[in-house]
Amino acid sequence: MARLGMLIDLNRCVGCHGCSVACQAEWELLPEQHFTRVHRYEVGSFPKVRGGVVLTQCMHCDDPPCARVCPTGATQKRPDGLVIVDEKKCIGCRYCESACPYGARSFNRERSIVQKCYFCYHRTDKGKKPACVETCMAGARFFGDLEDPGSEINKLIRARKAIRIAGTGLAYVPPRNWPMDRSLLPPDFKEPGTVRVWQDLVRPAGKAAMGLAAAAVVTSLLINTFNKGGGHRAGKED
Amino acid sequence: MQEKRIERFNLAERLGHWSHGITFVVLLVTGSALVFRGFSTLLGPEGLKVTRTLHHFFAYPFTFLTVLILLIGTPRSVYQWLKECFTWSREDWQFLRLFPRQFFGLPAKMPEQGKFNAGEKLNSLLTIFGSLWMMGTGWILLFRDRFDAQVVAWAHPLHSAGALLMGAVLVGHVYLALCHPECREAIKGMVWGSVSETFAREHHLRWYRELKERAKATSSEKRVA
Repeated sequence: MARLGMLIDLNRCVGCHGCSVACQAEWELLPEQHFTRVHRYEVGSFPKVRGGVVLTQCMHCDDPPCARVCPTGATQKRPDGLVIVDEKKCIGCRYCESACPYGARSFNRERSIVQKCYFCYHRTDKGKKPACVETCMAGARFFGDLEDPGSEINKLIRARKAIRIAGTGLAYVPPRNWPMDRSLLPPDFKEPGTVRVWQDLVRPAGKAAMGLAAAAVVTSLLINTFNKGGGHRAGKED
Repeated sequence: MQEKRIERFNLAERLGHWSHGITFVVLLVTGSALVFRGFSTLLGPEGLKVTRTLHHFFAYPFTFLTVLILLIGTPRSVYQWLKECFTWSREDWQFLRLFPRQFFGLPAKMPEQGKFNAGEKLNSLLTIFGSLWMMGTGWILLFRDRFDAQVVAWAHPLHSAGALLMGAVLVGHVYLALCHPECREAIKGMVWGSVSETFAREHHLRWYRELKERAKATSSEKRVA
């Protein structure tokens, strides 16, 4: 099975916001919604200051916490690595928004649903490129199979010494002309503590507490019914 | 012959109880639609949108209605109730120790209790603090855009934990009120306002005596006058 992912070459990106806008048009997003964002940064101190750009978006995590907390199963991890949202199933509870470690979720106020980058599966499923890749005039974005060693994206990752963000489907080529501060890139994947506490501790323990209460009630009910029935029979025999 | 009945809860106390009870159960059921996978599958996305809207709507009466009814309708008995809830005697601790025996139908000689027994006091305290907990975390989630993302992220597990714990308390509370043979008379007090004299004497002896003494005092006052 494939593992679809994206490579972003920060040497080539000029920060034109073309990807961000093409994406908005493709998905008919509200003006404040951005599936992919352009962040500017500065490093060094005057007069030796350099600036650059980092692009962020949904990282299509290997083990996405957004899918874990989704109560309706609207958010799903596809076998080919894509994390998608079945928008018809989304009820807008926004659990996923809090669960996402990359802040990549975007709430659509008009439709009351939560959306995010889908790697344009309606295009890529037909062999076309995602809208952001297609529109990027600088050729900074590449989409492809990260598991296939012979794929274009893998060749570029090797040739340009890209950094794979562990646990996700994203890779970045750090700027060549400047010692890259790793903290400027999205961090390696780590499931948020709140999600772990909620899903692994609170839910099982809470359900067990409710189950115990119900079990105690049933036991008490049985004992009392039995006692009363026994007493009644004994009275009759007398 | 009709047994003499004693007033235990006035109208405002009962309305307050039921406004809290009904809104709480609606919130618990609509909220648990998001916790129990089987339930959410059964409802489907359209059903879940309805439960979500109900859940958000009932936050308002849950937060404000009961407090308004109690504070406007019967501030003095609210004060008395709270005072009792925060006063714990040796008999109360003894009651809690013996309660599991009584609950499972074993012989137990329960100590004297006031208008509220230790179990009812514990339930009151859990309800007061549990509700404040649920309101605090719930309103954060309802107005999540005004709060820090990390605060909202913690509100999710804390709201869940409170709900499941209060749900367990509710299971016990409903059973004791409706089904447990030793306590069944109590539900009549919460529905009609009065309990039988026998029940008052057997389950709330200290309260019963206080009432008798007060009655005697008022009648003697009348005689003097």
